[in-house]
Amino acid sequence: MMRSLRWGDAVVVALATALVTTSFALSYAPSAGSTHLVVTQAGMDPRHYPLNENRAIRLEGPAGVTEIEIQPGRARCLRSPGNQGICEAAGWLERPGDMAVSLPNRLVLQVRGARSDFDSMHY
Amino acid sequence: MIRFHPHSWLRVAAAALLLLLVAVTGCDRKPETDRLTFQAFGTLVDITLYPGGVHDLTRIESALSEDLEIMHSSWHAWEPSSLGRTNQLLAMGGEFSAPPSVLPLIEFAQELEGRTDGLFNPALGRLIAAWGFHQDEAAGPPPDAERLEALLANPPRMSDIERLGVRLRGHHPDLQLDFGGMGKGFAVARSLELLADLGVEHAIVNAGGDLMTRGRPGGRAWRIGVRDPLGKGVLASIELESDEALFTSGDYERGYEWEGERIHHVIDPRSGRPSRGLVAATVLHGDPALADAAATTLMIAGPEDWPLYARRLGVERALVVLPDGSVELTPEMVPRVEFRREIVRRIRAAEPGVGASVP
Repeated sequence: MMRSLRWGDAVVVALATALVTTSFALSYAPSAGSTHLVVTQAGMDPRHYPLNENRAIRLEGPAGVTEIEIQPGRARCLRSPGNQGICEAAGWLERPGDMAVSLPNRLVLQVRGARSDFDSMHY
Repeated sequence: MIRFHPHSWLRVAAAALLLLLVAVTGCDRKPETDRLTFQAFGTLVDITLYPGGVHDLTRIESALSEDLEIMHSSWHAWEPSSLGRTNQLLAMGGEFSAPPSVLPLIEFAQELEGRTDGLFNPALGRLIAAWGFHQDEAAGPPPDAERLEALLANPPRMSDIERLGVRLRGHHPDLQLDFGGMGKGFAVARSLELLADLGVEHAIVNAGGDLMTRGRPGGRAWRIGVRDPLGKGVLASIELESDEALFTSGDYERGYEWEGERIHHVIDPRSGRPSRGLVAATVLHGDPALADAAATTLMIAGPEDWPLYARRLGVERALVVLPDGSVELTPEMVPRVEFRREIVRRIRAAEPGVGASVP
């Protein structure tokens, strides 16, 4: 037998809708401004740098100094040891997943965000 | 009609508490995957693990790193290693017991040399060394014409190694093995086995850009970005299922400039010089060792013959990049690749010289 909808039931429905929607949004929506540069160097903990202001970083490695330039929203390997210029050739790193590698200095620069386009990069 | 009922307050309170828990759970935003990046096997190793936040990352990195370093030191072509000792004994011509770490690679290389008409020939270590690639930073000068002629006059082949079970005997004084064109494939396969032993069900092992998958992340395919070998950014994306390997051989990997010419590490046994005509060759296959060796072979085979050698090696999915930036790929590779920019593409069947432009 069907009973009439009560006041409390209506509140439950409204609360459920609002909270589940909020929970879903918090879980899956990419958060603005969370993009950052992660520098991984062999034998050291990863270092995180926000991409929200101009910054110059010098990192010592086995083969010399790698210079990193950060500008709002992007970063690049400015100079790095090695005769092939592979690290510099990666250019500006802007999107989550973008990566530059310096094998002589054993480091990786990678932009990471709330959600990357790729699970891994093939090169 | 909506009517107030005293029991409704209790329901509201209970439901609010439950939903608050749901919301708080939603706020706990664990990463979908965990990433480990470390130096091993002479390159950068990048491990992707699914799901995030559940694995003992320290234990996994330690185990993989140690295992990869053992393989690297066993197969090193110019530092003291099991392979180095094998090379010395092969050149002496006597019979000896093969190191267990080296024997499977020799067997595999002998089989592939036969199927590729000698294009894939890891017995040419002396030639590779002559071009300056048996040192950490490759450097010239390249061999002059006289030296090159001497190296190519009677070059050693994998078939110059006689196998008697686990015993080996070399039949050429210049035999010098260099597994640079296939060792990484073996290492990636071994790393995935180790991850399985450690209880990891879903992962990617990426060693210097070459990779293989295991399992699937959350029921979807793995999303792989393919870096553009001629420029910056991403050339294409490829979705990989479980147990698929993606390996590339390219002229941009190891090399140096000499008198204005780019000298790269993929040496063509026919000319004795760096291969010409292709910038990169990519192979998608279930066997990472075969994918690695096949990518090297296709790179050497060049723009005319790469489809023929892909077929001989049982490779259905392959893609090559030409110096003008255009791309050729096998029909089976077409549905697996999504290009991220406008690009000239041609589908190449397994016969040489047969091509068709893709609109």
